[in-house]
Amino acid sequence: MSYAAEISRTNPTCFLFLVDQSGSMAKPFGGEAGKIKAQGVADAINRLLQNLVLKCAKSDGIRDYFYVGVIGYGARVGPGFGGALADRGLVPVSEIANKPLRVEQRTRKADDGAGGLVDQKFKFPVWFEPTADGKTPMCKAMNVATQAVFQFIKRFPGCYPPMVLNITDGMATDGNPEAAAAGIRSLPSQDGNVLLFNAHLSSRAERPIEFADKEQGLPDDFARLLFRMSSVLPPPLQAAARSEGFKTGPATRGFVFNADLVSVVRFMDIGTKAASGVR
Amino acid sequence: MHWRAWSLPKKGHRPDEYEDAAAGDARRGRFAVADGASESSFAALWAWLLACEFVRAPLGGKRPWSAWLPPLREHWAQELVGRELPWYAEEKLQLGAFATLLGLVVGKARWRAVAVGDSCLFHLRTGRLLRAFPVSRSEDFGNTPGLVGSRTPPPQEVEQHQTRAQGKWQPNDRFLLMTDALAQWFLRQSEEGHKPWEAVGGLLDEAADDADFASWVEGLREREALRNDDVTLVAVDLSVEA
Repeated sequence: MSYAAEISRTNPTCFLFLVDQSGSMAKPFGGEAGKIKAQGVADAINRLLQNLVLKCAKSDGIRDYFYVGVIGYGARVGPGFGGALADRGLVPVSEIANKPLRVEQRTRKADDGAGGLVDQKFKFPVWFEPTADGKTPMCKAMNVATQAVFQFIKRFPGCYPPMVLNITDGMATDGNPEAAAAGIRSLPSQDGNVLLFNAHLSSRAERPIEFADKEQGLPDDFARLLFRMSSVLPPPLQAAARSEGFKTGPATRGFVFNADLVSVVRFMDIGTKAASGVR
Repeated sequence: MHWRAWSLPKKGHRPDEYEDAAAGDARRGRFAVADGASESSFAALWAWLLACEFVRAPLGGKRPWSAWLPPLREHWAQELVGRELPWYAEEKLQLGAFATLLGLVVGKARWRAVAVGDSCLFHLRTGRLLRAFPVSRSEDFGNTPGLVGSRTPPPQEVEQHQTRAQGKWQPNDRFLLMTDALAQWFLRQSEEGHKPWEAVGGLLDEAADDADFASWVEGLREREALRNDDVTLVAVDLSVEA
């Protein structure tokens, strides 16, 4: 059965994020009043990175179950990390964990274990700042991603298929990205084809959609385009999504609208899930 | 009453990365296995505390979880207090550790068991499987079993998730306690008409040491009969009057 490879330190998988940093991302974000889309993207990517790290964090450190990369596209196309990770491609998740841009101190309400709530201080790492500049060379970004993922599969041919997560407002300026997307989805490891997920952050204040199963009913042409570019969830991922409370069927694709893709991290199986392991 | 325990970490993991636990006391007739959840941190300590606490609990009737879980949670937290941790370890510490727990109490002529999650008990008599608890079908294992947390949920909620079983035993009966991967193999073999307890019996008859156990488990893993996971097995033989 495909999409069943064990994810381990000797057989890791990879997450590659494509992050739209174009000028149009300075427009308001429909998913959250008072926020621009670039901020929505930065929040989404910081949460995703944080959850990937937590998934691999053990008492003695980080286990490198994942390699993680970010490709930004806007005024330039290339590695999107800053700070100590600047200009790096796919890096082991332990390096992501230990090299954020900064770690902020925040406060949240937490369960006190006896049915009440207490204020709890916690550290909040930030890897990404909002950026909005230039055009939207999504096709070029897809081609750079194809190369990176191809190299990863060459190194780990039996890996759980790499996941490429594209976070954008959908307006490519260098052509129709459908062919480039199909190119990424056609790359195979021995365990199945690469999975392409798309998160569409729109200025439209429409209700969020998570894991759509048809084009009809999506709010605009950009959403429909990104839906078509997204992988159909293979049966094991459909089952994982269902167990996380999503409605899925054979036509469900890895596409969300004005919502984040953090749940995808939870779909990954690295062993017994803790009751509240992902935030 | 005699008992033996074996364990082996997940393939590709070091012995110090093993996160199951087993404990037993033949004089008290109490045995336990616990399985630390791989996605949580500090789970090996929590699994070990749970198993030991079950075994050293006062003899007598059932204790409510609210009587012993809060102090055990405090014990876990105290073991880890004051450490300078990176952000991710601190976050995991605040989320708490999680583990399954299976406990067996063998009394005069009767036994009782309690379980949260999918660590399993098998009751064997004269070459037959009398009872499988709490999971009785190999297809019912998943990666979201019931878990006891070191911080949450409240004890009364854990109480709601527990399952209990009881029955009578006879001299020469055998109990096997296993964490999930081995239990799933055991049930699947049994469903296919095999007698997996004979292989386990062989380990006991040959007084197998940890190296023998390791090579047996590795053989099953190589044949892909066994999921790659920490493996723990406790065998309790009621060969004489308990």
